[in-house]
Amino acid sequence: MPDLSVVWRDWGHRLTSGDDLLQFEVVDRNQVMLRSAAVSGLYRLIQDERDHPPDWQVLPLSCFAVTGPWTPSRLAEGTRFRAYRRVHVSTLWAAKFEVWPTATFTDATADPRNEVHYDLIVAAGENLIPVDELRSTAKPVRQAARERLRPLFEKVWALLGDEQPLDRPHEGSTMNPER
Amino acid sequence: MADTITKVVVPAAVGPAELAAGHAYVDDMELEGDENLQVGMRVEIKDEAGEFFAATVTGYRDHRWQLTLKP
Repeated sequence: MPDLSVVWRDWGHRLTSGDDLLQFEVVDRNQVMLRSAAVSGLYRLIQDERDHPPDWQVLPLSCFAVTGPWTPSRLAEGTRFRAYRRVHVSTLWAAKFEVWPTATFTDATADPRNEVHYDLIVAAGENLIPVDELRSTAKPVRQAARERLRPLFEKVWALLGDEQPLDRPHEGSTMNPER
Repeated sequence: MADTITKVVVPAAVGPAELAAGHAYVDDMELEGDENLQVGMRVEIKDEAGEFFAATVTGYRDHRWQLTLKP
C-alpha cells in the first residue's frame, strides 16, 4: 500500500530571521495533536541523519514560509481552509523551537507547496508519544493520552498571531450533511 | 418507518497532494476508536478545515488506513 512520506529538503526556500511562517487554522486542535503524533514515525530517517537517539520521537507541525510568490491565498489552493495564523521565525527561534525544511508526499505525489514547506518541531525527546494509549480502545485512556500532549502544543499556539481570514472565494464542500 | 443511514466520519488531512493522489490516510490514533473501519467501507472524511469528502476505505497497514477519495 502506498503511504505518506517526508524527506529533508535541501532545495527551495531557506529561512532567514525576517521570514514569517504560516499555519492554517485547523478547526479541531485535538486533530492537530493527533495528526502530529500519527506522522511522527515518518521522521525517523531524518532524525537518524540529525543524530537523534533511536528512542527519541518528534512532534512536527506542518507550516509554510510566506514569500512574494507564495502568498497565503496561493498556499491555500487545493485546500478548504478559511483562515490562518502567522508567526515570525525569529519568535520561534528565540523560544528555542527548531524549524526543519521538509518535503512531504502522498503516495509518490509531491505537495506542490514543498519548496516553502517546513516542520515546526513542537517537541523532541524520549518516550514523547504515548502511542499505545492513543490507540487504546478505551476512550478515557485515549483522552488522557491526548491531554498529555496538549501542554507541548500550547507553547506553540501561544506564539502564533491572531487568526486571519483567507482572501479567496470559498470552494464549497463535496459533501456536507448539515447543508 | 424510515431507514436512517449514518455514515462513519473519519478525520484526515486533505490537501492538494491528497487530491492529486486520490488518497488520504488516517492512523488509528486519530480515530475515536469506535468507527470499526473495514476495507470496502464507505465513509466521510472530515478534513482539517471541517469540510466533508466522500471516500472508501481501501487499505490498512501499520495502523494506517488508506482512504480513496471519490472523484
